[in-house]
Amino acid sequence: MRKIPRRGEEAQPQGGHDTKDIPDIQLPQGYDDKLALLQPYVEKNHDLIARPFYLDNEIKLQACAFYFNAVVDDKKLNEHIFKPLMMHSGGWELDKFNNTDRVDLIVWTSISEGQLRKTDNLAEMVHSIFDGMVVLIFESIREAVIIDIHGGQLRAITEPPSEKATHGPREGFIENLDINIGMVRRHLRNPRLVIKKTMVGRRTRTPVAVLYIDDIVDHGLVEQVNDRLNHIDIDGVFNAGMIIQNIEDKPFSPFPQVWTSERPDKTIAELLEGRIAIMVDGTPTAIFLPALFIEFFQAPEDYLDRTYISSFLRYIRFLAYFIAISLPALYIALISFTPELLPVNLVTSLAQARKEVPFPVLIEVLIQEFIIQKVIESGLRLPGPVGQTAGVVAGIILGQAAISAKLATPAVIIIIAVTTISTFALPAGPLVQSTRILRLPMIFITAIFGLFGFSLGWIFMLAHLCSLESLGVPYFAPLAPMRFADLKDSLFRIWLWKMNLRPLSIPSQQKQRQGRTGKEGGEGE
Amino acid sequence: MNSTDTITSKQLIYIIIGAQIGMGVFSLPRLAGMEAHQNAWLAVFLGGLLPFLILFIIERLGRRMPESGFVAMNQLLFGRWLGSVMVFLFVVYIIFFEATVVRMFTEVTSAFLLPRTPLPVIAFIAMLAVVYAINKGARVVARLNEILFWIILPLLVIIMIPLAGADYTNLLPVGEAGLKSIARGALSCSTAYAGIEVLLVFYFLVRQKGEIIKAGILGLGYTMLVYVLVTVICQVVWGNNFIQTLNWPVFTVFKTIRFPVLERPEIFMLAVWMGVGIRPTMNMGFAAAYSLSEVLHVKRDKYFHLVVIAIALPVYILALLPPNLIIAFKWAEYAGYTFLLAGLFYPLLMLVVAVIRGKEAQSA
Amino acid sequence: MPRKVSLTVIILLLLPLCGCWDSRDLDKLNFPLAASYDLHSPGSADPSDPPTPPGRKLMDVTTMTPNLAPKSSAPVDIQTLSGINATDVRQKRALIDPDTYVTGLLKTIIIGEEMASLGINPYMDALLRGTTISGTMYFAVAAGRGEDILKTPIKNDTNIGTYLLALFDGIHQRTFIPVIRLGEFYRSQDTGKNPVAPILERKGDRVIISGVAVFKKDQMVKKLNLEEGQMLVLLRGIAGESYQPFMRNEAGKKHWGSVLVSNSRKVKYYQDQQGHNFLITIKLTGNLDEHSHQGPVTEKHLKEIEKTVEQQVKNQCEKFIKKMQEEIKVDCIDISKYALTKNRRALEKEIDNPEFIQYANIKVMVKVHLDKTGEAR
Repeated sequence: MRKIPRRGEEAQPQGGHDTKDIPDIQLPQGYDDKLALLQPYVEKNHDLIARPFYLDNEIKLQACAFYFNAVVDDKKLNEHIFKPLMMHSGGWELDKFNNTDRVDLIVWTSISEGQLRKTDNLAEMVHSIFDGMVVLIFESIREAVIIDIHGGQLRAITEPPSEKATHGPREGFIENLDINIGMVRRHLRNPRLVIKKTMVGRRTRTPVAVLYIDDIVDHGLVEQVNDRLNHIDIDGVFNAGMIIQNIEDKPFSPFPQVWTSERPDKTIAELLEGRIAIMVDGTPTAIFLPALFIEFFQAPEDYLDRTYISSFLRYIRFLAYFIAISLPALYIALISFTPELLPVNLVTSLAQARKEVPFPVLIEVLIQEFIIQKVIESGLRLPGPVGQTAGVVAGIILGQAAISAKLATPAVIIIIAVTTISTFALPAGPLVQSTRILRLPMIFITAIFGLFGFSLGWIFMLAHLCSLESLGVPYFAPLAPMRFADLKDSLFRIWLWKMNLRPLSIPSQQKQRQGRTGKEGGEGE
Repeated sequence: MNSTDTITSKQLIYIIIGAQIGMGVFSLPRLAGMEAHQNAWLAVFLGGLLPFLILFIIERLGRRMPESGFVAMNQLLFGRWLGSVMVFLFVVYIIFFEATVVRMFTEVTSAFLLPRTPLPVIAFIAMLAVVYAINKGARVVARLNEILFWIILPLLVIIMIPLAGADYTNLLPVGEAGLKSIARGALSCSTAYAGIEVLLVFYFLVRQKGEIIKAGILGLGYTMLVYVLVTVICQVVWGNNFIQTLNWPVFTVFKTIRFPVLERPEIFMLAVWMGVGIRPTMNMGFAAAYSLSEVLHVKRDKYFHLVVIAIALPVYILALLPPNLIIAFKWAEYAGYTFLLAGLFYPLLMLVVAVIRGKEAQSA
Repeated sequence: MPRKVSLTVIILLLLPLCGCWDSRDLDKLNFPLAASYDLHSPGSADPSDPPTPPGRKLMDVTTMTPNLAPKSSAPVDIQTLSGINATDVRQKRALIDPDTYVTGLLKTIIIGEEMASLGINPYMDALLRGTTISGTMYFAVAAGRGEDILKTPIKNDTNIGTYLLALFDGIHQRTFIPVIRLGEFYRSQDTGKNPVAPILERKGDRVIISGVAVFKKDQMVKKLNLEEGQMLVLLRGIAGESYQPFMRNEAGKKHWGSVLVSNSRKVKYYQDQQGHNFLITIKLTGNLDEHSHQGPVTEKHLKEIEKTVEQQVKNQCEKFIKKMQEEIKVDCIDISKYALTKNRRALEKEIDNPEFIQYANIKVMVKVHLDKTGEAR
């Protein structure tokens, strides 16, 4: 089973930097010796380019550049590395300096590229090549120079399709970590913004960045996040989702325990509330910890709209969540257990429709539920316009046909349709997915026990929600444990200039967000 | 003390409310009106003063020995063996009391919701939820209490609807039932406030010890308010004579409320019904399980669930023992009297011993 | 490992729970919207016509259910069955009807006149004990047999059940007539209280409210006509709104008109040497709705109208009280409870005796206040 370090437990990094098959030795002085050492890695990779050349100086120092085609920026390579080294690196006497100084001299005078470092370790050098850097080796100089000129084609910055906002910024993250971090930096110009990078994945060696604001975040949480990242022992990471699954608190729970976003503006808002962001290279998604249940009801444009509108929309979403989970269940409970509780006219018309359908209510609901789930799935995979068409056609035709084929009553079609619509009215993708599943146990338990089962299901759900923790922070806060100050931005969305405190539910060093010092926040749990 | 087992003083309010308001409230107006007739609400009010006394006793006791939990306190006061036996007796009391609560819950569920479902099944399902919650520790129990308090609160508003067309002459004349019968009614009403004794266990788990008394008063005050309100509503809606013919007068009041769209507001009641039932069982059950695990030195993380099951199983069996509703009501009555024993005399005894042994016990 | 074991145990324990004991399919249910209780008459529609046990009169239970079968010709299904009591009838219903009855949807219960005069509590216990039965069900007395009311082939509504429901719903806003629900019927049997109920009567293809039944506890003692019923509502203080016609003499000319008023009642009680004294104050507030007087209505007119209505209502009330004290001898205007508020323990025993109300001094005061005259002056 997956292991997560708890607070206080000692961190025991298990993987991450797999250097076993590359000898961890110092590089030799000689050019040919180095080439020999590199040979096993070079000969199997046809896209690895080894470009030998002479430095343009008196002694014609022999050098070689290693890089992967299409990973590095060709233009930069030619303009900023090869050209100066081959043509303009004269005018100084190499012999007058010792080894270290010689390589520094080359770097200082002849490479017009910003990100570089040097190493005398074989493993690091080989990894650098495979990480997509340009590596330069020189005759009679022990150290190799590693230059980061990642390039190649990248996707343009567009609006994230899964997190569309009606208004507000249209920027979304892309697949490149550095550009993503740059986007955050550009909008959060605070010297206290800390960005720490590590590598995750034995083989993929994916760069993962941890972002937080130094004087807001609770450092205990940062430590925990680092612990958990270091504990990830996994072959390859190519998606933020894989990181999430490896660091969340309760993997058995159906609820999403970290919040994700593809939007830089959301990222900044989360950082300012004292959360920690994790960004993974290759995924246009940032992960935020600790997450609260209530957060999944907050949409980015909530903070741009007028207070009343935003608060109203929040209620719509809470209602949508309740409906999405319990409407089919409630329907079954009321229809097949306690029809007394419904108005007379409704019951008689429902019963009339039911007489035509040969299945019990449970089966009827389940059939429709599975049909609609399949419609959703098929719509997801099909390309854009086709998917939409398929959804609409399936929805209308199947619904109508089911009624006329006497497979379902109109009421059930309405119930399932409303439920599905409500599910997708929720602003957060992970919550939508969990809602789609949670509905089923609810349906079954009410099919057995009626309204009693309904309340039982909700009690189990509440108990579970109360027991969840994200990074050791109560997940169901500020509802339970109740933090009245935080209800400002959960049940309501009060005026921004009134939100003087950061959320109490998220531990932070600095409770005061803005404005004059009011009452410092109440006790935590 | 494990960090999963600490609560805040605010949560203590909800825990006290949750432990007290349970199944008892549904038959309380009948119990109160039996002796005190139209002055039932007075009896309920006066009966509510007893838990305040208990609160002060426990608070005194806790202040004397703030460093020791319920089990350690017993073992210090009565010696290792006798103390353990005392704790064990307390656990047995809770098991018995909880059994009556579960039985009442099962009976009401069976009567109003699931007439054909066998009682053992309903009781099992209820216990399942309780065990699930207790297993997660005091913090989760406390949080669940908090959220359930707010979820159940609307019921209090709904039950106030019939106040508009009610007959207030049913409450008059005040005080005519006589001091003696009101006092007798108050005594039997005070058993409906059972649940405060869990403070014996929860006292140690609260982080802000200084605010316990405030939290306790708030919790007890709320319970008292609800009880008096519910009694008054039942009295004005039904009149005392008719109440005496009903098993659960409060439920019957819900049946007479009319709502425009949903035919009957019982649906709100029934939709949160499990929440109403789980609270007292959960709080008392946790107190018992926690005490027992302390006595037996059970590892909190590893085997706590076994202790919980060891509590839940006898509760389940005992709950199913009364052969019919009338005997179940009798049991509930006895459980009420044992509350006086375990809730009033037991802490009092502990306090007396603590005072007598004084410094010796504290320093040990 | 123990976690897995306990999880398995729980799942195994859950398996036998999948019973669905209480699940009922909606299409296998019948929804009686209205029912009537009558004393058994040999000519009733019960096909089996069971023998009468000694010492108890059989009852006929008639239920009206809308017919929900897809292609049935009859819109409603009305059945009459006889038995010792209501639940006995329920078990017999299984023999003639495939569907289960959802008693919780019963909206109106009609008691036959004969049974009402006999006392209905012995036959009504099932309604009190039934946990699903709605406490807000309407309660009415039939002139004659309740069976006949339900069997009226009603034309102006879908069926008699929905018609009765619509008739009773909000009738307080239309006229002064006492409407009572089952819960109120029970609680009005408390010490010092007596229920009243509307009387339904079949007139051709229509069902109308034709009067008010006065109960002494569970036994109907008197049928009142509609006018007396109005006074009963005013005296009893059942909040409502209705028109009150009046006639006024001005300069030898008669003016007719009516006021739309809502009522409220206050009762003062005191005991002295003369016995129990009640002072009932009826307050009517509303507006002038019709007046045959041409020309603007001045304040003087308004005051006069108020006086006229006051006098008229007071006379009628006094007449009614006289009838109540001399003829009915039951406190049907719900004032005895005010005596109880002063001295419950002593009065509890005698309050329901006919003598108490018979010799009580009841005074009525009527206050009318009109504040609007409508669009016309």
